[in-house]
Amino acid sequence: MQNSQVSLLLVGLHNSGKTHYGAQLLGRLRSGSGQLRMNGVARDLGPFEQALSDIAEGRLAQHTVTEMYSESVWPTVSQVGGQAELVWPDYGGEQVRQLYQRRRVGESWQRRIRHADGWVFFIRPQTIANRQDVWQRPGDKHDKAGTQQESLQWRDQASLIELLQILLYTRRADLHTPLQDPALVIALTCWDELSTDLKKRKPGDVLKKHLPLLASFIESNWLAERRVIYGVSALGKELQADSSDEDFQNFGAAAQGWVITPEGKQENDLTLPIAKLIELTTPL
Amino acid sequence: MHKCSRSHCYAPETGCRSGEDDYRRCEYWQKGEQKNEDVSSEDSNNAAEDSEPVTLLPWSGNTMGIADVEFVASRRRPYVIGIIGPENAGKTTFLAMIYLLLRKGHFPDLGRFAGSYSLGGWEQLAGYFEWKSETGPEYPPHTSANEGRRPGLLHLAFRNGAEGKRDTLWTDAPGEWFRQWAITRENPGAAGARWTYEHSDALLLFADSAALAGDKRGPACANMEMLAERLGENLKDRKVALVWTKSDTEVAEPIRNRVETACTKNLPSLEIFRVNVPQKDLPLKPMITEFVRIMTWLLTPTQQKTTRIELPVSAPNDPLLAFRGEL
Repeated sequence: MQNSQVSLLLVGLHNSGKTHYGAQLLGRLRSGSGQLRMNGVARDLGPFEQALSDIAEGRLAQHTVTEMYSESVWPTVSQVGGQAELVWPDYGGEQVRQLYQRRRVGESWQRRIRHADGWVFFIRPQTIANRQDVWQRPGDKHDKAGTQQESLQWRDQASLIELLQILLYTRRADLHTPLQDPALVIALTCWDELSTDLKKRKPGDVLKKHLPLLASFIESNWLAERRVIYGVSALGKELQADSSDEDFQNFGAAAQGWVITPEGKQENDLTLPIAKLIELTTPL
Repeated sequence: MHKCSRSHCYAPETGCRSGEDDYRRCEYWQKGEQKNEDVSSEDSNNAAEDSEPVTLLPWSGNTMGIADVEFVASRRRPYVIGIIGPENAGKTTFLAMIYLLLRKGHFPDLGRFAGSYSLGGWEQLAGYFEWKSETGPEYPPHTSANEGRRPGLLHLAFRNGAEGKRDTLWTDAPGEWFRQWAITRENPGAAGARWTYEHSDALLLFADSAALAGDKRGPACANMEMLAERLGENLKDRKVALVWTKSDTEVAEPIRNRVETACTKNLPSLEIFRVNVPQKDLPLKPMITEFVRIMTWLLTPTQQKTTRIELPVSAPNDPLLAFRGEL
């Protein structure tokens, strides 16, 4: 892709790791050591100022304010010379939750959803509960009727699928056949938090194992060549908001964090998922 | 209280029926606004919060009513699965078990999960069978016959490989309707049972093993015989299966024979399945296999194209019948 602008839609609920990844990605782009690097200087780093400062100190970045929405334009060039301007948004994850809770999509979100060339969907598996039901833990033989449940509660896999359905409806995607557009990167964030068993698996297998209904929804509705799943640990470890991490202070944030490629290989290059997404946005 | 003056439009709960991106631009909405000064505070709050034009979604996520089906049926007629049987036979529990298994990745052989516009409704059913901190699983409460004249509909979409998406609607209706319908086809109280029968492409008849093994097994068996007869009346070549629920309960052979004889006599090409809710002392794998087998059987295309039963040529108020495209 030559000299084009690639607009990304980043989708993630509150606390799914969007801001940390964005700040770390920015660091990697500026250092120029990865698949993608900054081609010149970003016009405005303002939206990430606080997060960059927190991480440089080895502290957990503060969450993005709910009402805020900002975009930064990052001129990038890939190792093979392809140039693209990344339009990178930052916003409070609460805005996304409101899409399925209030069930209305404002004009500004409609525009973002429809015009984005590729979507990055951030999922932090450890925050999605796998509720124990009778298939995991059968009960005694019983015949006790419950009481009528309260109003609809969006949760777990169902909320993520509903969110994707809302985005696809807003984009007027035709789901009759699997989708070419938008290209989709699933980022399974905070990979370092996963259980030892899950960490041994490839990201696609983790999604299938931990969130099978969501994995099936994605497989069913996107062409295999237009979707890809990465594991991401933007910080490489858990940081605290009230104390500094020595490694971050001494060696810099650019030395921390890694991704797990779809093949299951750990790489320090945090730009890989975005480089892949830019590649996927090229028309078939 | 919704304000739209157009019938069957539930904006702002769901999308504008006239297709306006922003429901407030719709002429019917504006007419309704003029008429309805008595606007609920919720509506006012929503409108006030929408500082920019908004698009409403055409589905709520809950179990669907008939008016909601239009959205699912707009491209291709959905495949309707009629869940039929007496009270307390485990019809709603069956639906919950199907969803719980899908949620765990147990998909039918002929289709992967491709979406649902009633995910909230499914989650609500599934919630009864989850372990909560204070209580164990419970059965869903009795599905009330007072909830309307049409069944609730739960949506699931499947895709088999690169084939088109297949939308299915699963009916959830109270057993009383079917008891009344079995006795008197035109019983006014059985409108929902008639709707289910007339619109379903596949029918699952539920037999309650506990009732058929209990003190009142005689009337329960007679009821099943009547239901089988009624189902056979205008079945044509639709798929039909007998599903024995609570199948760990032993039903005496004469009763079992009577039920299965009535079914095979009235319902050609009958399939028989036996299901159970997981229990501590029962092996899980065969139970999972049986539920998956039912889903696979339902999604397997029949040799013959399904022949629709005779229905009015025009039924503008019936979203399923409004469709005139590919079946």
